[in-house]
Amino acid sequence: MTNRYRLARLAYPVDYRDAHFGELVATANELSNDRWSLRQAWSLLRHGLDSRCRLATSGSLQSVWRSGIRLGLMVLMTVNVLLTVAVGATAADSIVGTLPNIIEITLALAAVGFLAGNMRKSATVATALVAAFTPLVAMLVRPVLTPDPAIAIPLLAATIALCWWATDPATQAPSMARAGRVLATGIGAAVGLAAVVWVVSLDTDQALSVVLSLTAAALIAIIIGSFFEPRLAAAGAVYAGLAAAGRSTSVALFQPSSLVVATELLFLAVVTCAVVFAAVLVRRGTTRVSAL
Amino acid sequence: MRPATYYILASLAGEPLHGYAIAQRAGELSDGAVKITAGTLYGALDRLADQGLVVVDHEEVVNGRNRRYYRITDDGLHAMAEELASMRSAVAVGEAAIGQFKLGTVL
Repeated sequence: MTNRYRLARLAYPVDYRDAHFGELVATANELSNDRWSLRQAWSLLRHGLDSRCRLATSGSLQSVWRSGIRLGLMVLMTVNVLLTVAVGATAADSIVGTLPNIIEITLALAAVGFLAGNMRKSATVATALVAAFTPLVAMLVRPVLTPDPAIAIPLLAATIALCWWATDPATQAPSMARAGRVLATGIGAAVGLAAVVWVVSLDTDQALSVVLSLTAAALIAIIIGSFFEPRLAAAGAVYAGLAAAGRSTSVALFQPSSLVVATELLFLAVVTCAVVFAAVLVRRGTTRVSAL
Repeated sequence: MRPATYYILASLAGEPLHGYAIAQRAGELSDGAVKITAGTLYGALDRLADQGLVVVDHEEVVNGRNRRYYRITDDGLHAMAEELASMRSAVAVGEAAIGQFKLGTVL
């Protein structure tokens, strides 16, 4: 019966999902006379995301920090995806100093709005989803980022497989041993795939494009992973970090301005985490006052 | 307080109820004006529980699934009373405004 609302199920935090999702679906079925209902499905999806935000901003200060950093990373990676697409589509020089600022501000605001759980929540979620899926669409339909689909598609598949492996719904809490395995796998996969790309891509322009594709694929994984599973996000983070480092190195070889891009990304990481953490604290302080 | 939240609290004033019964009772109390979906219902219940306005009274297992019965607390009744006073004030303002309008129309 829960299969009817499979997609909404993914929106819920694991603990909440295991404890209460069956009850929620039973109620949804009773309210819709035991038929699948788009209205009920949408409400469950929204409640799942709302629960994720509510639980992310409650609990100990340590857990709030973790959530803030994780969500900040998500925003940063979203920026990185858009930068990756932009770099792949245009010359790096043309985007430095213009595009990053616009995207940074937009997505930082989206993150704040999302965490604040206000009336703009739907719009900010939509913004984040559009930002997340733009590179996926770009990879599939635009030849700029995928000069050789025979390489890009397996890389994307490998990324998804890695992240799928890293997700273990049966495990309630990530253990240090498991986190170590996830990190080791992420590092191994990233290094291995980067080596394959480097060997098979004798042409430097093609190598750059494929590394960009690899980065985009990894970043898509981390964005989706940040929503659904912290462990998946951790694997994606390592993968994306190494891919981004590879990208920076590649670009640095061919485009001197890439050092500016790399520095700016680091700066964005710090700023975004700070902004998101501030939003978490604001949300924490106002929850009891404005929840109704 | 949103209308749905108010009617959820009102539906719990009599006895502890489970989710589906709360949604049904809220619909009856509002003459069908409030149609609560499962996500809205449990979102409101989660927030109300966080605030201590409702609590889980007990749980039952039905068809292999837990079913939580919610109960309104004293704080919940107090919050309802405050909301009611606010609504009474709003009604008084509205009636006075309409009364003035009608008086002006007659004169």
